[in-house]
Amino acid sequence: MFTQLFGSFLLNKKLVTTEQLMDALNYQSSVRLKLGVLAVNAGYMTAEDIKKVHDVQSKVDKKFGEIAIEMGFLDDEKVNKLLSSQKTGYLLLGQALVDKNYMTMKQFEDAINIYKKEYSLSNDELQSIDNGDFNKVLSSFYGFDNVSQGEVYKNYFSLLFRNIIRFVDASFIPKENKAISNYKYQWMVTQNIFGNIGLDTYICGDEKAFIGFASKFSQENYNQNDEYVQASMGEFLNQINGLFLVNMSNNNVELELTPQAVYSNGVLTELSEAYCITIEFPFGVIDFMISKSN
Amino acid sequence: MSFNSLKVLVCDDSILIRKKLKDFLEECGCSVLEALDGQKAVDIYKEEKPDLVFMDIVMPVKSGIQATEEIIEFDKNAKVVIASSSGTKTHLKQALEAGAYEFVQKPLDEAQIKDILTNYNKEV
Repeated sequence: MFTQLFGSFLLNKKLVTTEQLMDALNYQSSVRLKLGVLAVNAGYMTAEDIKKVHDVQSKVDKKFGEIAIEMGFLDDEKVNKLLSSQKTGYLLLGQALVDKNYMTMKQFEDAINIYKKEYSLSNDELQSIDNGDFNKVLSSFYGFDNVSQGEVYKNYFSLLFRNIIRFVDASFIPKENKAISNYKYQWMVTQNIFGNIGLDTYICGDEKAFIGFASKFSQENYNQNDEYVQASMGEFLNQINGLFLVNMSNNNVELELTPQAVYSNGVLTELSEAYCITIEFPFGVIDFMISKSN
Repeated sequence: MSFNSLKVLVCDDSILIRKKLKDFLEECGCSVLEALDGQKAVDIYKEEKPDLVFMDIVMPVKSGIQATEEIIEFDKNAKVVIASSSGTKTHLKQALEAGAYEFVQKPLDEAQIKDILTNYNKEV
């Protein structure tokens, strides 16, 4: 998930374009992480050091790690540590952006450092976030400051993002969240969560985005926004909300769901504590929203 | 394994879930009936007496829990599998109290469905 949020950060800083980012997100699954990228991320080497090693490598047939050790940038212990580290999500994105010439290694290094500075993160914290500490990610990226149930919203969106990656598509760009009170939709699926807390949940988009999302989720190839597409959208929302209820139930908060419903071409008004997170997918733009039930 | 003689009622308000479940059950050799809410499930059960019922919980008109209670009241040996996306403690408790044969969390995968059919065959 941090990969997507880091991508969004690069976009907000105008370091890449939407097209470049989407291309890199699609490409990153085939990327193999290079030792140099891992070394920069770990703070063992700078982009300048990497360049020096590459210069030597262009003349000597040796592995990057061997040369870096010989030049005193790394030692055996550090190389082993880097090699044994997990494939790190946002680094794959970085590698993809560098491979595709959308960014230089130096620009990527700077971007990591700016990110760490802006969110006051150490290397270890960044690593733990990338390894899946989703709530921390959301806290650093999305604030729900004026919401009575801010923590619940964070948990909800964290669950939502994880399941989008799991069941729909990992190539997406999450945009900033917006506090809203009105919303005009083309297509909308909605479901109400009630009990000790009352929340209304929504997924909205145009026809093309609904067809794309439903096709991915259901692993079918839908061509038109028919009842199967709408049922798929409803089922995705139902699945997320069902999991949310299970999590809440595990914390001894028992909640219920209404049946999900689909609407077209309407306006939501007087929304209370409502937040909208827009996500850009390769097939279109979808808005995910949550509000306090009136 | 074939389940040729089994008559199964699938009750879910989602056409998508009904279709996926129906397609797979038919592949397994079952004959499948469909209901899109709890009330229709009760009506169809009384008329058709299926061997096994797959029942969603959250549905319009009548919930799956209520429908299960009514089905069990009509036939105390009815085998109703509650399949819900919200496997909360409350739902589990409600399902057991209603007399459900089994409680499973959606989405159901094919292995789960086969297990349910196999267990049913062993028991009956």
